[in-house]
Amino acid sequence: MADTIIKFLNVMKKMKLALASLVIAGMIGGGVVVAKQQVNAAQTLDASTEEGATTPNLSLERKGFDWDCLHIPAAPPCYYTWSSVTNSYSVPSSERGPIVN
Amino acid sequence: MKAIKIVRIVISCAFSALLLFSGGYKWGTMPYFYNNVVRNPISEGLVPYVAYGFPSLLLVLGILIVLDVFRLIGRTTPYLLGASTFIMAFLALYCHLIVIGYFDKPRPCSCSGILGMSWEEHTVFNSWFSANGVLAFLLYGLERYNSPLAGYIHKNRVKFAARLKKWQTPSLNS
Repeated sequence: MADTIIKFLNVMKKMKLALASLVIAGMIGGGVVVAKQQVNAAQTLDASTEEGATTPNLSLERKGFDWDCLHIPAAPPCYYTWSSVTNSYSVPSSERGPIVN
Repeated sequence: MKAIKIVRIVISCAFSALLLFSGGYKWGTMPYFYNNVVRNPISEGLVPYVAYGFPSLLLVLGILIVLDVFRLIGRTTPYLLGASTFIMAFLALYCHLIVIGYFDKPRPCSCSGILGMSWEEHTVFNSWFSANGVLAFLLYGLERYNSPLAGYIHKNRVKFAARLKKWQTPSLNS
């Protein structure tokens, strides 16, 4: 039994680098996966706010703005208004309010 | 002494997990994180360096801590613990300034993903981790020198005295 444990510990010692690499890759990978999930969620939110709008896709800056809105819990939800004059969304960064199409 | 070592290693593992996850998360949401950094009170020229440099620093520190825990690199524990604790304390201070309203506008919080924290929770979390970092640093001193701080001070005093002596000794060539 003791021999087996010692053998196991020796193998573990040799496997240290592999184990360390696994831990590192796992943790970074976990972070990236969660990040990607949240990015998808933010993009879904963007898509839902497009109802009635004429723009097919929102810019990265817009998505970033929504991201901000999600991440400022103290502030009310962000709003942006569609301007038929400029043919684009108006996103005043200093203002917060309900979502308006 | 073994219990001290275990506690210190557990804290190191928690730090490495946090740093690696956080670094990976920030790289995974880089366009958003970049946007968040732009909206923080940082000089415009520094934004790319902070946006790309900070997550990279977190990853490098996290990797080094894992290698240190697995003893694949040596004699780096106090430096790594010190650096991680310093970063955590700096972030805790920044979060605290946000919470007390030191900055004029509400700032976006890239409060690493899965926990979905607010600025207030993030402040508490970072402060708690900073305190753990200090504890791990002191435990390492206790483990290595049988004293939480005196060992570090003594070691540096001896180093300083040796350097002073070397500096004061006239070189043979002159």
